[in-house]
Amino acid sequence: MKVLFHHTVNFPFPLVIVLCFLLFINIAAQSNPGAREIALSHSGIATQRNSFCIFNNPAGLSRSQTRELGLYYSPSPFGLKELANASAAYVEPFSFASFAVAFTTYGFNLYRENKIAFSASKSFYNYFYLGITAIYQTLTIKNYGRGNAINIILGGQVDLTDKLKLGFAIENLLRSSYGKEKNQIPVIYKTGLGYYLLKNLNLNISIEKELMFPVSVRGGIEYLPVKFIAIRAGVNNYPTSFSGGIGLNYSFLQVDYSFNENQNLGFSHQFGLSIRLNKF
Amino acid sequence: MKKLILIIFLLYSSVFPQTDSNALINRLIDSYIENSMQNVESSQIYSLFEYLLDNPVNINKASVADLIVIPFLDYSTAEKIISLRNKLGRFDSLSQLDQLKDVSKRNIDNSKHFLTVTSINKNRGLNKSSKYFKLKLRSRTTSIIQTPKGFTENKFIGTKPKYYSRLKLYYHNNYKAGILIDKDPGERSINDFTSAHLSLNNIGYLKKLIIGDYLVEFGQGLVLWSPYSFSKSAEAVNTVIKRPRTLIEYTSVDENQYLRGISGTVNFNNFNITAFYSYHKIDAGIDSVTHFVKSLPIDGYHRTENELRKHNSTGEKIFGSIISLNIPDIFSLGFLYYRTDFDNTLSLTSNNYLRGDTFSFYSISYNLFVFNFLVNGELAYNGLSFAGISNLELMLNKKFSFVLSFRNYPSNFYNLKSAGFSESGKTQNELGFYTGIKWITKFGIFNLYFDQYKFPAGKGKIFFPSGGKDFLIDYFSNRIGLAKIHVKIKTETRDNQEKGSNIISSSSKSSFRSEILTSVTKNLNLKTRFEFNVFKTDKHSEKGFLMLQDINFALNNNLFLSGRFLLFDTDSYESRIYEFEKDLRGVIFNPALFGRGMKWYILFHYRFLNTLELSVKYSELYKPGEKSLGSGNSEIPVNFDNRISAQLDVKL
Repeated sequence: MKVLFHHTVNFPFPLVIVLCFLLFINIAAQSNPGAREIALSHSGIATQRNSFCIFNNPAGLSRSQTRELGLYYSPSPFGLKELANASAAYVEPFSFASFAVAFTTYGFNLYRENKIAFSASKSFYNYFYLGITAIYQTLTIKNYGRGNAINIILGGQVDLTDKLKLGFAIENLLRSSYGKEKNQIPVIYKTGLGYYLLKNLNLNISIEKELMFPVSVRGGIEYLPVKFIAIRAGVNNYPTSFSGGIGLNYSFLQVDYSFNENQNLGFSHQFGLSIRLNKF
Repeated sequence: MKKLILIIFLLYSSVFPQTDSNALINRLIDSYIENSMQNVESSQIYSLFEYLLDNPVNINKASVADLIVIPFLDYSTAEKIISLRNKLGRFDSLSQLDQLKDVSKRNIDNSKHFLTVTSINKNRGLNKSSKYFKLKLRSRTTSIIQTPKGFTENKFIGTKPKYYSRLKLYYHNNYKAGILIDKDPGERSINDFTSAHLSLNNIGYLKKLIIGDYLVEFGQGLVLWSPYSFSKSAEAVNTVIKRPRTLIEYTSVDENQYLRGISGTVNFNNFNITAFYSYHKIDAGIDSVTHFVKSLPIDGYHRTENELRKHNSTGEKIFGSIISLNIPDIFSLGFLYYRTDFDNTLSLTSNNYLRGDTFSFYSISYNLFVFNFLVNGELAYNGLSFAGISNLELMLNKKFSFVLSFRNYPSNFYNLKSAGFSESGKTQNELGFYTGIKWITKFGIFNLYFDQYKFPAGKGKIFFPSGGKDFLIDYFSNRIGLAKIHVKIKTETRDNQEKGSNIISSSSKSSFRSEILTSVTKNLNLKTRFEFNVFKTDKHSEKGFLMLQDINFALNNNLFLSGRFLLFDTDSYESRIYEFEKDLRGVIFNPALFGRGMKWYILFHYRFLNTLELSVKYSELYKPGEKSLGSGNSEIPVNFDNRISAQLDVKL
């Protein structure tokens, strides 16, 4: 990211700190959306099926046959409102495949990254799911310039048995980057397992490796004591953090809250809302 | 023009109508030896399986010794096959093998590919593989997209691509002929290496006659064996005791380690007498003043002026004989004598013992079958000392087998064509004891081995005896839904002497690998693996990590696609991880990955017109933290490495 400091601009000091933060602590600040996913520390790659699969594992989009609109908001990660991010996603299932579209925005007026994503996902024999997402993303840094890139995510999920599921995904398959500097958008390979110990209790584990960073092992657990409530918890070894959350589910509406505590950076909260429209 | 005709003429294919034998061989190799070849790019293991596919063993005529050449069969299973044959009179079909009790079904299924019920002398008409005349042609080209330093600095006299072509002809399965040409990257001429052979099989008393290039294997490989052999692997029991094939037509690309001349075996009742003679020029580094041979390079590269100076610069003459007595299923004994003469006197800088221009070797090998035991071994003499290996294999019931192997290779047991079971790969200066167990349980298959070894005359910088121990446990589960799980844990501990220190300490390398193999459908399967290793010495420790995803998809019977994506992260070369890749037919590629980066490849096979098959592979290696990859003449100035290779197979 050194290219960004060639241009001299008068920035207020605190914002400089924030900018440095954004530029160097990439993974922690920019988690993929989904309050449920964050509550599980993103270990649910094998079992995820909501609209935010579009960013995490597009294979999961073809698991359900309901239209879904998902909204997500994280107001001030680690106490910094400049890092706020919001996302909206919509899934439309058809008999032969499911399609989805989503939009995410992150940052503030001096540094903003927007993404618009399109996804297609298909299920085979009801136990194998494959999906691909194409994201057009732009990064705008005020008074400096703007860069854009196309990011492709490929993902798959397999139901190994009726209780055990396998998932994998590759983010930024084409190694795109902003401008001339390479490796500005992470290339990540993740794989994981999900196990339904009971119908209302599932365990997840996943391993994620970003090209230039150490491997990250994540675990998560989701428990539904009654049909309407889901309690979630997750841990992550890199960056060292733990997370938790709660989901409330009634008829066509689902509300999720999650929090994430990063050992070095502190606390952040997220909110999500999902609306499921007519069963297909 | 001649070269063009040569290329076109040398298109080769070997497709069995019913099975895709390339995919089959790859699967068999995966299922058998996956990680036993470290850092060897070799088509020789592939050619063992291919040889067996081309020369299936007739279970109506085979003895136990003939059957155990097939790696999936052990002595006890072979004996059971013969008992069943005696009971039935003869086998009419391979499916009758399913009647065997107390044997591993998986091994029987895998070995069926290498068995036949028809006699090789008679033609049974309907069976396509017993046509009068068969032709197989294969032609392959491989190139790296980037340009290594050897080319940009004009050190290499030739062109970038690597070419390989091979033609095989069969007549009635009794007569075979083959010719092969090969060119490495950087070499100039398309037939930098040429090899040919003509062989006659099973005509009267003559069991085999080969004119041209061939290999000889005897006993347990203590003095004479082909250039490649299995070493310690996750098949803890089956890879220890070697199964010699005596005379083998040469179809590999090693440019120095074959024999060229004439060889033959005759058979009288229970006796086999083999004689062989060879003379050909080999690469050698010759001292310009004394004319002594200072080095014997075996890489076969003739790209730079220095390498060209060594090309075929001395001659090697070999002649010898093997006499063996074989009482089927009870006892066999073999004697070997052979002598090697070099045109120049050897005075190798790498080996103090190989001095002179004539070397003679004597050896005895024995096999004794008793109840469920096999006692086997070889004792060899090189004029200076005796080396020996003794093996005991026991199969208690179909579920459990173990092997004990004791080897003693003195420090002055110099040798030239040995491939004895060892840690160092050298059949010299090693004393070791190996135990291996294979246990088939209802949860899956366990393989375990423990090998303790010592180098009596020291190793490397260590001047007094040093040693080490290796331990491995490998677990392959039964099917769990759609998936199977495979876990392998290995530790290797070795005495070590740190730089600048007089103290012997020990270094250890431990690795842990786990995989999930998913058969999503008959046509689609996935493999997800992650592997972690730690390399530790007294002073420092390093770790390595690798994660990969495979997708293999058969679109229909004729089109097959395979892709892999992987990320690796190791602290240095010491904590490197080997990754065994799918490749074109006949190519085995097992590169070491170190540093931090990613790799992906895509491979496709397309079969058309029932006689032609086209394969293409494209791969990329990317290491963002580096400025260049490789070193010396192979260095490329960027941090990514792209390779493309294509192959055409023709079978008539």
